[in-house]
Amino acid sequence: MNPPRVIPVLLLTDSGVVKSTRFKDRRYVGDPINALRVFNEKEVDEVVIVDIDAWKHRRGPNFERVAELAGECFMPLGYGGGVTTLDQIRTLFRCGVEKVLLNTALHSHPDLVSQAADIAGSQSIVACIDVKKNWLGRPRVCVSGGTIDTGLDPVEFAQQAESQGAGEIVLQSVDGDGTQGGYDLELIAKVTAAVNVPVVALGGAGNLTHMAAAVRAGAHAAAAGSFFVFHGKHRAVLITYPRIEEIRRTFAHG
Amino acid sequence: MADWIRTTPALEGQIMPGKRGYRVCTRCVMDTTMVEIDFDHDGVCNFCRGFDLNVTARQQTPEVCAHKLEAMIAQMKADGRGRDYDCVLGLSGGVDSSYLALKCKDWGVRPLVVQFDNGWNTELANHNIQSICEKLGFDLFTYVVDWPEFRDLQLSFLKAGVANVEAPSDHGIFACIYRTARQHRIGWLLSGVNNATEACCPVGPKTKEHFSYGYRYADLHHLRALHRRFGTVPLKTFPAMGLFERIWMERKHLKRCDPLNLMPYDKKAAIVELEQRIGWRRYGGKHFESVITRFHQSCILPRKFGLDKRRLHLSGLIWSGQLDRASAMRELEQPPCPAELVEQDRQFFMKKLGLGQAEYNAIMQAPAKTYGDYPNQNWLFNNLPRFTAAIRKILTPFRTGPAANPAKAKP
Repeated sequence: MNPPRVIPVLLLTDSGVVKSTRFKDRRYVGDPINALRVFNEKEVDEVVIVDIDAWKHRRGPNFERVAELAGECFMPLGYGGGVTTLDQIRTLFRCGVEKVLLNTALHSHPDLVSQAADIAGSQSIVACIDVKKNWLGRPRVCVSGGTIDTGLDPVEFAQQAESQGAGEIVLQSVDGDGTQGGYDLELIAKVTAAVNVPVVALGGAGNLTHMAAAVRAGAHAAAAGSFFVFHGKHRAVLITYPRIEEIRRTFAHG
Repeated sequence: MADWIRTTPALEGQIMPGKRGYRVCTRCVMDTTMVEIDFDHDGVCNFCRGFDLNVTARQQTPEVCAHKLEAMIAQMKADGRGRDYDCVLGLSGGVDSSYLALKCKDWGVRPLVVQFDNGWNTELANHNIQSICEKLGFDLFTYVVDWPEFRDLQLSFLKAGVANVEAPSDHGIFACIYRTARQHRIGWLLSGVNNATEACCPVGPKTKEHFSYGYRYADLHHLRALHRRFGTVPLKTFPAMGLFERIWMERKHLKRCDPLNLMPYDKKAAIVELEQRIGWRRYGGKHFESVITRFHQSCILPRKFGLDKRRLHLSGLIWSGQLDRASAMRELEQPPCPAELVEQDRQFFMKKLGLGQAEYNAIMQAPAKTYGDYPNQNWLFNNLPRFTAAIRKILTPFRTGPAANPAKAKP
């Protein structure tokens, strides 16, 4: 049996790839083309690229750049960031993207998911849900790069996204982002119990054991950012990916 | 002559393989494609003589070297006591630096491993760096260049038509290592420089003015001048280090140690040991851990400048007795890289630098230039020993302490 997918997530800005901690403190990691090239040779299952500057400047995706990156990728590529219209989604697929991630649009353009699922099929429309704990410690869905708290419950939000036709859910913990201290397992368990579509855990992975724990909690696949780009206590930038035997072994034994 | 290089258009001032007047040294494989070469009546070149003069003549017995090395390691450990690291070690993932890291473990030295990520690292380099740091338990520090800025700097060198396209990387590497050492208060620098594989110290009057493989990367004035002329993105974060800062660092803060010169270093044996002990993986040629280096040595240098950098590397092995001349000549008959790989690298090179086919052709067909066509401070570098001697003479009366007068210090 194949082990669950292990997915690197690269955060793209105008100057290159960065990695944030709790959506803040961005650190420059390098140029996306070289990162993808290294991932190609490491035979990565799937890669997700999120343009985190797209929403801020109120612009759509930079299609030229996406096409260039998709051309460099040998594995399936998911794109997220600044997608608000059906036309943009169509163009993204033409650029060579396999999956489109929707985050802010889930809240601001609720019809977009169902329309997109109609034209492209559910399997390629992914709902990316950012969850941040509020001051009472209750998980709440937030949008626009974690800056706007919608006050919605992640479980209900995930069910709603599923009913609209999202074929997959990326469940991201804002509090875990960049900390490498482990996933929010409670949240993963709650959401996966409530929906039938695959859920990808994101935010907090520091090693493969964390990923195995997320899968035991119900996640279908595990995604991470820092885990693949940082190394050691100085958080030295080094793009790596575990070997397939290592992944197999860890997921088999936990 | 090697067929693969004969197709190169002849360059003015250089005598290309297959032409009249072409000549190869009778002892090593250096040839007249190098502008600074000159032969004695036996047909031995000035690179060979330089090696004899600077390396062989200064070579000490293995016992003395071993003793020296031991003393240096002891000093390094003593200086590092109470701190996190004993020394700083630049790691590229190549043989020399990787082997040095392995030896550090054997000696019990705790290095801070510094990597300069110029955006061209291959998966192999990353794999090697990762295995070294994980298996040997060393801490890694990476400096990542700001890609738009660095790309612009590299493009400036390409557009200028000078041979040392790698100068921005080399400059960045040493500046970054020096500054990291300073930041972490580390007093020692371990370097993988070694006479066995890369000694090149030709002698003679020409060698101060001609640099066929590339001009001094340390010349910041030259680097900035090229960038001013051909670049567009301002250099804000690039670790630029001027000559005086460098000298200050070397004199004041950083003691340098080249252990590979103080121990028997056999490259083939080193590779085998690395493979067995840390799962290190080898790659084709010297410095092929980076795509741009590979492409530079297998395409830009031969096709544009008529140079084959392997001559230098193979000659180094001949001088240190690790290779015979006949096998080196045989190896030079083959192209440095398979044609498919060169083409693949070319596509990547163009994509990564954002070059169109027309721009690429323009760069490759533009006449080859030398550092002398642009502002530089070669005179300063050439006269450095004289300047430092003069400054020392002026300062001596003002100095205090044992360093000023060693005779008085030891009664």
